[in-house]
Amino acid sequence: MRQLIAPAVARDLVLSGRPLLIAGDDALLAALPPGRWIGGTIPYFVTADGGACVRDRVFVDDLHGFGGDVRIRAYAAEDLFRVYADARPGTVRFIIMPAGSPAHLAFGMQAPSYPDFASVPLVGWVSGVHLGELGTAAPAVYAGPNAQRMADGAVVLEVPLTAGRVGEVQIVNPFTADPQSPEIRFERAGLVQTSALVDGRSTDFAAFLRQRSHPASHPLVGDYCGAGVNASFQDIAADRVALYAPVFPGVVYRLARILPDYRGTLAGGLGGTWNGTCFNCILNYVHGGLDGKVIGSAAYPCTFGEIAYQLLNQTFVHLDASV
Amino acid sequence: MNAPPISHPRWAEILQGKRAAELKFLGAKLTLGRLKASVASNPASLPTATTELRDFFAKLEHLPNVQADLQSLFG
Repeated sequence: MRQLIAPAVARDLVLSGRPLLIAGDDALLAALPPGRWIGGTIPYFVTADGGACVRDRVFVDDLHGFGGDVRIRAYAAEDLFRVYADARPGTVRFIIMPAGSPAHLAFGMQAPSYPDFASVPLVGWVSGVHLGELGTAAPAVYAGPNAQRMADGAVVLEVPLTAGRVGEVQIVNPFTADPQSPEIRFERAGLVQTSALVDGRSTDFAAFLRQRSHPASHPLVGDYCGAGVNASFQDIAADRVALYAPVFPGVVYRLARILPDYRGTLAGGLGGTWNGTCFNCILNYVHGGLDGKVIGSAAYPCTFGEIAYQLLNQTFVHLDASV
Repeated sequence: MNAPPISHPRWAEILQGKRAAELKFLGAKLTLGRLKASVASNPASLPTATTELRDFFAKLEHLPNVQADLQSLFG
């Protein structure tokens, strides 16, 4: 089961002992009993009925089909480097962390270099808040075994894959690099950039984006051997650019090709069958105008960042546990 | 197919972008992309990057997509 349900039904599921991923409003998560679940705050969802902001139900992803020995662990930011090394062979790990937290920053910057990177499928998301409460409400995650609320750190739920299965992490990036864009490189890793090497020349990055009238809704796309990895724009200020995911030296970035039909592109990419756990980005929800609109049959939260081995932006993530 | 020994010259060719890499495994794309970027910005890191890339493939060579990637790179 992967759907929005009433808190009382979620409570019953928790008490039944099923391993669960739960997304929803902070107050609803706080009211859940201890159990085999992890959760994160977010009120935005897409279902077969369309996109919606929902604050009176929670989204539950029931993982009981995995069976086996479920393990749940909370990580402090400084311990996240162990997220792969701690995994049992033959398992998949689901992870949630709060937006803007030290854990979120640490993971974004360092996950690609973690020991045993990608040794098990790791998928998850970054918890957030209602967009009208940015700056007032705080994102959080929940470690179900003691129903503990955490404003920092990450919660991980690990389940064994069915024997003989390895799990496949799939991503759908609605954006491609614009071939007309200059090559953009950065000299320092990080979320905030003041300058960039644009076709090899040091350039005021914010001025460059303004000069091109590049819409902030369309990210930078980094080339990772054929995988496009986005760094989305958080703020283009007078003298600096803030991103939702770090950029790294040596990676070639280009501005994303402008989508003539953002929602149509999302619908086209997500129109198939997605039977596993999946997540999408709040930026796709907002910029794609998904509120009240149907783009497919899959159901998932729209989050403040997605995780497919490492931090991603504006990308749909799906775990196919059948392979 | 086992990951070839670190002495195989193709590891360096891949990291230096002298050989195209069409990969299936997302984890491999992300790792190779990162290591190629590292070598591009600091060519002296090639030996370390080579070791890391080879170790990555060796640890995961039991995965079907990684097997396909090894065949694509070295077959």
